[in-house]
Amino acid sequence: MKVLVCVKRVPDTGGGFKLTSDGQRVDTTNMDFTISPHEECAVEEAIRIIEKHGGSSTVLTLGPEQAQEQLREALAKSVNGAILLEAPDYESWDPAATAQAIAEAAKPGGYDILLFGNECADACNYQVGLRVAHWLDIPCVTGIKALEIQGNKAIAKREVKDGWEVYEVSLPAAFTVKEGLNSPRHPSLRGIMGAKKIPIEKKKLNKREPQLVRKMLRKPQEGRGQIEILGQGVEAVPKVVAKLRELGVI
Amino acid sequence: MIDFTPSEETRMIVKGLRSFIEKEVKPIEEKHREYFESEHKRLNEDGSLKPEVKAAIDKVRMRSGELGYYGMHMPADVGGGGIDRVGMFFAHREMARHGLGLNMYTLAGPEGPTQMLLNLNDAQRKKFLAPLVKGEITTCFGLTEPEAGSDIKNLTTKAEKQGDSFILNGMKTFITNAAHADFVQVFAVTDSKLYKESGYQGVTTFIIEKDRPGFKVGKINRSIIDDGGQAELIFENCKVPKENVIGQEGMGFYVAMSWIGVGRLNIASMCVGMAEYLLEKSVEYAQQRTTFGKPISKYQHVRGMLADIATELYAAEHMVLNCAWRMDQGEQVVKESSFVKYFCTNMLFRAADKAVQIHGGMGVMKELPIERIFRFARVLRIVEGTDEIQKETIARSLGL
Repeated sequence: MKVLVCVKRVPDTGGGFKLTSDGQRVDTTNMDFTISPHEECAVEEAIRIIEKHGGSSTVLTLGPEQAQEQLREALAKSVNGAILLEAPDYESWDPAATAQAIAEAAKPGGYDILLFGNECADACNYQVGLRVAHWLDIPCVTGIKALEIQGNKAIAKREVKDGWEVYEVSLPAAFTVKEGLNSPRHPSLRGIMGAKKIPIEKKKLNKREPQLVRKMLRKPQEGRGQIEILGQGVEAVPKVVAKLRELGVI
Repeated sequence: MIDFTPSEETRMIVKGLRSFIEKEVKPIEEKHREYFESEHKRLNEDGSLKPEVKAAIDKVRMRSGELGYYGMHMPADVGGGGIDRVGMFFAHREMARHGLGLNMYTLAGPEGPTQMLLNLNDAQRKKFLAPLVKGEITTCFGLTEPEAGSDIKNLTTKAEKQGDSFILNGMKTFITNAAHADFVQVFAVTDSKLYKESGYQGVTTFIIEKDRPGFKVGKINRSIIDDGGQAELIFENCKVPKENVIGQEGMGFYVAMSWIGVGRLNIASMCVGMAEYLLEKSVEYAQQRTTFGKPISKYQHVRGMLADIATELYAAEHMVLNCAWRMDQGEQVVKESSFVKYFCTNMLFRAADKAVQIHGGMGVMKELPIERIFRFARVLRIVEGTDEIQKETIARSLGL
């Protein structure tokens, strides 16, 4: 089994963030970078598939040279190999160009399974996984929260209100995954030390003209929480239930 | 050139540790929340830890050992990660910036492997050090006596040689993790004449297993933090084979000195992390709490206190990094480790005092973690050498 998992280097915004003065991007001054949360689950799934079925896993990213840090994070968790598609101007790459470059890099690898995050944590375009599958002409199931490999086919489940949509696809196939698919492991110290010795395959990319141009980012107004005291003790229960119904929680 | 930028490897270790604390350790703490909010609930009547709390602490330590974080400061040839002092500064800071909870058990303290134990021989390393680095067992450092704290020339615990063994008699007090240690490291006078003459030689360090006849744990020392960790060690005709001697007979203090500087640096690093935690909580509270129609963060007095914490924190961070870096270069950092221990523990104490003040009434309530850190910060100015001992060391370096 050969698994390719694609990740993106995104700012670790933590509690809050600022935008640059031109409104084009998140101001990353003094900010850490990380892998998008959905993609952390994709990395974990790649490792689990190989642990169960054997074979090898590879992590790939398109980004600046510094994105090697995110690749090594995956290697530290025991992904076997890494590919960096070097694009110094990565911020101007749109989903179509990104997907085409990933598809071109993935094609010679002969991967059985391609895993992506359902969406990345910064741009949230929901497009790259689907577009790569289109370029490679393979099936794709998006937004999955369960994946089982059975020989040369896969059973993928997407959670919907009150149940699951279950898909059976033949391999090779691509999947975009959501948080909740699994609990990503923490890297061990041994893994971290071992990761720095694994060579990263680097491919330089030529600039491509984007089809999608970002005009402006705008930060939403921060809302303040509202406290409403519904009553005291047992007498408050009907009001609490009514409020929960009103909010659509029950 | 001095460059304190953490390496990619260090950044990954810190992120790994953060992920471990946030995703595994904090949920365990949340499950036992009532115990961590109140010492009364955490302890039995004799001051010892309740079994469920002890089990939670053990679980965190062992899991951290399994991931390799717990003993990562130790050299690779004894199962550690060989992380240097600068790397350990970032790790200790990360550990402490999550507050005073179970996160504080993720990296080894006095209950774990220290550089001093590199003096163990191969057989001792296999039996005691290897499981200690993995967090499978714990130890304690038995030096302090009722009449001999930093004044180490007053030890009364004696070890008399009888054939291939020693007979130990005496007691130790305020020993961290004494109640739970699988083995203790004990300092005892083996040559009274030499000890009296030199003040440093004639003392030997022994390993004593917890079930060895003649050894028992005395009463738990109750304190203002009441963490159930400190207790007495009592030796009554405790027979110890010579195989249990650490390093060379009569050279116990030289064995101990190999560890003391590192311990001071570790405390200072933790102070930086914990002050960051207090600053974050205080800024958040100051922005939320409104009086007379505006958030208290808009009042000059509160802004000034927050600015003070941030400024001292910046100084402390760079001071510890500088000392750690010098240590990594192989420099002797006697006065520097006193500088950082003295400054950083006091910096944390001042930060905790301000955090209590900013939080007002809530600052002294048990519902918030602030008052507990305030008490903890006070203790840190005493352990590992009091403020006065540190200043004495600094004064001596000035030729006084």
